[in-house]
Amino acid sequence: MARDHEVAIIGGGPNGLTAAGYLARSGADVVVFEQRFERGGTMASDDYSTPFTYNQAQAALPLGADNPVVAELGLTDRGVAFIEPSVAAEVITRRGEHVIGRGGTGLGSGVQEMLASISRACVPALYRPPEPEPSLTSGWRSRGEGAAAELANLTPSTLAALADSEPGRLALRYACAASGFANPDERLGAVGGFMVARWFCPVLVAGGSKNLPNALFRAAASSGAACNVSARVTQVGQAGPGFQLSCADGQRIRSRNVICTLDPRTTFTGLLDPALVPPELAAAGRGWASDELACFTAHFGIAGMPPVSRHDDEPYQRLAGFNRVQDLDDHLAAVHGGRLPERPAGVLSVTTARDPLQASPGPYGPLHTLRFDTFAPLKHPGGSWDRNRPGYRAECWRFLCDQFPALRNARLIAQFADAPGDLRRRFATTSAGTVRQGAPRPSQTLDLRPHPLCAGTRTPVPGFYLGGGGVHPGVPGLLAAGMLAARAIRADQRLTGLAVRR
Amino acid sequence: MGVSFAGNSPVIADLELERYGFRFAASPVVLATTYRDGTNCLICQEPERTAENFARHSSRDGQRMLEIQSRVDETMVEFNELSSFSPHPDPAKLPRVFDLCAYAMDFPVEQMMEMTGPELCERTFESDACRQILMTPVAFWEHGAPFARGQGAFGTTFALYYTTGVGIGGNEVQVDALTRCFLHHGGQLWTSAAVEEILVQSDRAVGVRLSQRSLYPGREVRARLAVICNVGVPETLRLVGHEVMESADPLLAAKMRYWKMGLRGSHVTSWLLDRRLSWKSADFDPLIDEAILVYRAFDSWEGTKRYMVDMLGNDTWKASGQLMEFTYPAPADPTSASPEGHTVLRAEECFPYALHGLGGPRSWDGPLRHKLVAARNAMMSQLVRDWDGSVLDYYDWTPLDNWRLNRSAKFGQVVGGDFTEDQWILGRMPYRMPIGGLYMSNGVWPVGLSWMAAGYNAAQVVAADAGIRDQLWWTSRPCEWYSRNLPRLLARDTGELRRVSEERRGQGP
Repeated sequence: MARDHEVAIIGGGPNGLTAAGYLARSGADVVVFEQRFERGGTMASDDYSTPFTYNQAQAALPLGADNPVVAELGLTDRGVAFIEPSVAAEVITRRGEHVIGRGGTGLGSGVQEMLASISRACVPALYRPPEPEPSLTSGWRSRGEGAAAELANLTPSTLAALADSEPGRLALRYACAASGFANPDERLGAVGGFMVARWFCPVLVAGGSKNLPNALFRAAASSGAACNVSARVTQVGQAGPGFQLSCADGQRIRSRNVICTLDPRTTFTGLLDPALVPPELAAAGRGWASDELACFTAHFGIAGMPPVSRHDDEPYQRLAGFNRVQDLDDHLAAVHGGRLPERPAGVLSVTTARDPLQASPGPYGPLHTLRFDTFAPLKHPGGSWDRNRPGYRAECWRFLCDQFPALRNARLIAQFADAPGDLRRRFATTSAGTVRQGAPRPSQTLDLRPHPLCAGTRTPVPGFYLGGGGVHPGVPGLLAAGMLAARAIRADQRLTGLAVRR
Repeated sequence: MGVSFAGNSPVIADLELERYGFRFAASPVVLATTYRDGTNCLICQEPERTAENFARHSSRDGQRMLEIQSRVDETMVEFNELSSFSPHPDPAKLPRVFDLCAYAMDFPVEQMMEMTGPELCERTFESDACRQILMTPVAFWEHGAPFARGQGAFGTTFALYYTTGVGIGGNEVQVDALTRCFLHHGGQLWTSAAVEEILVQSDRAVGVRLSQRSLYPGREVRARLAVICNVGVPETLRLVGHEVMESADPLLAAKMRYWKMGLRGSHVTSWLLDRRLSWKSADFDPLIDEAILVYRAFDSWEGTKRYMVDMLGNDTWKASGQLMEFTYPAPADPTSASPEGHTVLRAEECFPYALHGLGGPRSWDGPLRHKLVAARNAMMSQLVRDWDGSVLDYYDWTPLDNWRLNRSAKFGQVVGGDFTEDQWILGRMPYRMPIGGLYMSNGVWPVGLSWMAAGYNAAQVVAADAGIRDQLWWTSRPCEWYSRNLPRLLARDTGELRRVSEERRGQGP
């Protein structure tokens, strides 16, 4: 027999749990369906029973304690703390190490000002319904944030040209690629510019990224939300004034409202009854563009000392294996061509250098958790990644030992890797192997994400809302889409009650 | 991942865990052993099916096992209630527990009291294979010390009172359902919150102080009613402080100080396979391919006894490769396979931690671990069809890693302390400690497996002390939920995975 709820949320990732937290606290009867065995989406952390913590999306948070959701849902009382490294990166080239401080110090004052300006200007726009980019950037200019507007109009190539050193240019180009802009001539746009800026302001969740969705879950569950796992919704159809959700295990659930956090392609071309989907949204779903570049991510747990910076403070990440921008271009060209790059150059993060909680203290320490990301083709040219994953992981380790001699004295205790396609297998919504639900290019952000008909989380189907990474703002880790969807339902349903917060 | 023993637990019904998302599945095979000679032994849900398998080794053993399993089924609820799901140490319960075991095995209690585990096996079965499966759980150093008279025989019998299953989506679903239940009823939960000290004032535990290595460094959390300590004996002593414990109970303090944990550290390998595995011994009895808990359990009965002697002699290298526990959810849980049909097999061996003569404990980080895994792989290729072609990747963790991960698992010991003659039922820790308001739920009897018994018992004691034990909803009996729901727990459809795997096996690596 179908059970009735006021709000059903499809997807138990950070946005789904955020929406659940807000709505349950507003007194709504909320149920969440997560198809995986755990909640948290791509903010999952694993230890695989080893003494090390591995994060799928380690520093994907653009904001920490200043995220409004953190304060409004009281997350710091529910087991969340943030770490904001003062050194964002160290670029290691044949000529030495170049330190880039938090916010981009070391990239040149012009670039630094742009990054700071867009960080200030953009945040409010990300927590309210979207507006067209021209109007947004025009407002920035009128409020004295012209540098932010200028950055939105740059491309990776023109941005990098503003840096005053080759390592700075390299770092900027890498940050753009990591933010979804591998094409050097693609305009960043307002949201893209913001994401590049935040690459230089990394935020970690203490103890592992999963502590954040764990706290969101606790906030939601403590207010009465039912948050199910291993529960896959396969179809949503109209049923009376609300909807009927069909689950893979045969369950049928009825709900007056639905928030879907899946990507637009899945939502509009598979999940929602085609009879309910306007042709424009079906077309938007079919044409939805994913990121074009993904990483091979290797995790290593060691006993012994990791590399230590010669400078005052430990960088959050070390960019190694590229001497010039051209090396990065060659690497990216190989990946685009479906080939393995000459060597697995990329970014090393010694997670435990910033957060000791992410490895055991011992016995027989010190123990450290390392993470290495290198861009790699979605398909392995020599066959499947399944058969080649261990070999490439070993190649990454050899590369790191070559780049960082300290590692040669460490004992490698545990090693895991996600090949570019693995993320997609875990999370169907991350189609191209990155945690973003769709490329953040200007044509897919703000009021165009995923389509002007539903960019504000409401859709043309009354009672059906979008709340995941495929709707504005589309920046992983902001929790904004979940909050905006909850706000829209609260307004539409006139929910005013505040559930008793335990 | 692993197998869950939750089926026995009254917690599922009392706390309505299914309402909080708990999904469980069982296999028609409760426990299996597979042998290098191509045979196997199966203890099945149906006693008749068990007897059929045992009879392939010896018709007399088949008949005896049919009688034993029928008597075990008959006494399942009462045994579990007295032995596992009520607080210990309680000498008043033991006579009935022993009576039930003696009845199940068809020996007088007095004879059981004098028998070791191996002796019980020899006097019960005539075939090596059937003796080996009966000995296996105790040889794995759970439930009792095999060579201790009485304890060995009773411990061997206890293992027959288990049920096995898997949580759908992984056994984390069990913890998840408990968490949801706890939060729903107003609980508050922190992770990354290690405790550094149990605060004791005026001979009473009044709260805890968090470690500097935690999310809230140094924060004190007050507890009006109780502190339940689940971190094992050595850590509890450290958190309370030796002097505090000694002044409360010098004998117990001494016992805690010399608590033995070095015998059975877990060394685990998890393999990623490109298909559902098939045991070579499936030619002998194909039902083994439906098993979720399988042991590689020795090559002979003499080898079984030699292994236990080697373990007691701290000879890790000699003991390796003889006894492995395989947990494999794929036959029962369709969600445990990837869409491509990839599955995970987990193997656990237990070893003495000390590595005497092998370089000492620090050698767990060195080449030894790789040698042990290589030996394990060599053994797997003798037990599983097309093993080398099906393995995509693997990882392992040693007793040292286990301890590093989990402070309660000192020396990699995950069941709360070794089973030695003096660390059995009456020799385990009390749930109610001699410090007011302090309770334990690890290092107690029974072992801290996934069946939620120790937590359930600790809650019973705390609730009784607080005068809140009598609740209308707190009335379920062990095993009843499982037996009532068994047909539906067995009904998972894993046909698609089987089809994909057969296809892959036909294609070769």
